[in-house]
Amino acid sequence: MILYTLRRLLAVIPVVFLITLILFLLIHLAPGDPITLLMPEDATPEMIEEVRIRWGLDQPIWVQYFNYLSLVVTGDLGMSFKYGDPVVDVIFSRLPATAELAIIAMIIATIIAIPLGMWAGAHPNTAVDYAGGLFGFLGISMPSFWLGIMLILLLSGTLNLLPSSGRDNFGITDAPITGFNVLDGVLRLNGGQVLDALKYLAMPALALGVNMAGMLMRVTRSSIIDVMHEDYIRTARAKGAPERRVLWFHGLKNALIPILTIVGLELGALLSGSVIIETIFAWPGIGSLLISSINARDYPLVIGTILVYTLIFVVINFVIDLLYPFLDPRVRLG
Amino acid sequence: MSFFTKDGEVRALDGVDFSIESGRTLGLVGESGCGKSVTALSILRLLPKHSGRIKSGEIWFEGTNLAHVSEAEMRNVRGKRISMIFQDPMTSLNPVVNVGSQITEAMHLHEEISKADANARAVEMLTLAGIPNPGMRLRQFPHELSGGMRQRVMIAMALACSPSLLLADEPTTALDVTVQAQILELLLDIQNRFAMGVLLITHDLGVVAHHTQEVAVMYGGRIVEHASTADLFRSPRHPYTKGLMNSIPVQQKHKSRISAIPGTVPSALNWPSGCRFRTRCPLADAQCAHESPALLPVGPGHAAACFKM
Ligand SMILES: Nc1ncnc2c1ncn2[C@@H]1O[C@H](COP(=O)(O)OP(=O)(O)O)[C@@H](O)[C@H]1O
Ligand SMILES: [Mg+2]
Repeated sequence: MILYTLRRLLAVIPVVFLITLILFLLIHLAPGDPITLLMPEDATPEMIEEVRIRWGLDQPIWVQYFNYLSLVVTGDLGMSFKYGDPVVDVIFSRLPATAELAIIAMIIATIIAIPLGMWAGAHPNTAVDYAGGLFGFLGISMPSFWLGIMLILLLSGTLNLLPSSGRDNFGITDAPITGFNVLDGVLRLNGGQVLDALKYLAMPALALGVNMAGMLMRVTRSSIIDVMHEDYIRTARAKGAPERRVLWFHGLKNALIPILTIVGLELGALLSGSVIIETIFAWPGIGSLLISSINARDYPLVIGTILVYTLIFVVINFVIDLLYPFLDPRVRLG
Repeated sequence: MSFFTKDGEVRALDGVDFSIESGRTLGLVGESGCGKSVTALSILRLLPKHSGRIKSGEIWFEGTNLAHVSEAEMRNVRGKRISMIFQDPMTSLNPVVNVGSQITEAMHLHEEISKADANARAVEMLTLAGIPNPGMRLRQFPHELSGGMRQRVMIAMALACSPSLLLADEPTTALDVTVQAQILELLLDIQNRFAMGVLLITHDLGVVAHHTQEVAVMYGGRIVEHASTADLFRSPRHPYTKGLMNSIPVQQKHKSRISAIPGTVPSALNWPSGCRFRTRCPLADAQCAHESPALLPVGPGHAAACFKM
């Protein structure tokens, strides 16, 4: 297990390097000389040359990359033009909001998709299956931003049930404990804060989660249909196991392996979807931060946010890889 | 018994009738596709729910007709009073559940038993099944075991609740020849100890000769000859049985597959009229095409279904 973890970790390192390299090249290839942006109009060539040397921009590109890399490794992503704070601090203050939204969306998706997919797959070609199929189809085809807008129109506009924007904190101004409002509410034993946090989360999380639920439901269905045809399912029945146990123990345990793969992939899709959803719902996470920093031409912040996004993506895949051996004992040796 | 498929009705079994006494072994032989597995699955009512159906017939077991009991009562029979060992040990064990849980599952389903007691009995069963180091095996997963070991696990699993009838569906077909003999020896040893009835399904007459007291020969979903093992080998009556005997390889070094009878088994979707064997039978004539031969006594405890005896 330790060896497996180390091997997975080793596989991650080149990916991270590649990402920083691509980001660096993108910046480097972007049109316009950064020096001319920094210097006054009437700067003399000598002054420009002096600044160029001071910033190390006269050095070969790989030396520049190395300098950039050594800063990134120490956690220095520069200063935000717009906020005047270190990019890392700005991003970290926003990270919990995005993480909370993504986690709740994922929980919603899983709670809807797995039972529905199992149910549909256990009764293929029945009314239950067709209803599940319709849900899956709608879930996959509805873009999350469209669903978000529809939810706002219906639940905030017409019915006036839920707040349409922001992430209120129930008037609590103490320093956050975890930054996750729901969790903080639970830790403070403050039911009001939990409810309030969930109210704000409900619509954006639903808009994000339904899409993932559609995909996950379909995979669960086809995966359990395959599994239920396996010989070991017949063995379980031959032992006298009731159908409930055959499906939810012997069946699900095997079906979860492909489901986990899709959860990993869909979490990536969910993250990119969250950029738009955060903007629509004015959710103060790193997705809306990315959009606002692009609008403000706050380049260090843009680059930092993209880097953090890719890092999150890499971490998710790493965690998924670590989960496989728990679901599938055959992975442990490999 | 029929399967209802998109290509039509597959009449897999037709008038199959036999009985097994406790402590005795009945061999069921025939080429692949003749309905042996379906016979065993019918007894446990484990046929595919949507396509397979027992259209008529009775399955008497210890005074109950299993064909008519509820699904819940049937579950109490499966794994407790009648167990089954499947042909392919590579695919018949759940790959993500450890050996111990798979063996104790039937105990927990059918009895009030503590985890520790169940584990202790699982160790006992594994020892009985000839598995070295049984305590350690409980925590292993099927992929960590060889084919022979997995089949021994299947046996331990089937015996977990001391059933009175064991259905062994080609339990050694997927294994090496040397392992085959060991597993069969083991099965019969266990049978003697527990006085179980055993239905030993095989396509290998060599296995039948050594390990059974009584044989039913199947062809095309019907039993064509039924006799004590000694009688059958001394005086086979049905042309199909004779064909099978002639095809036993003299040297038993390699896996013996029955193939010496010319032609192939006709499709169960569309049996020939009359006697189902007539398309491959050297003795067939007009009568065989018009009438179905009944299984009639040809001697004490010996019956065959053929007009040409
Ligand atoms: N699930 C099924 N659906 C349709 N036909 C089946 C099914 N299972 C078995 N059959 C048919 O039933 C017949 C008997 O099969 P089987 O009992 O598996 O043969 P074997 O003697 O080799 O064990 C074959 O003709 C097979 O095609
Ligand atoms: Mg078979």
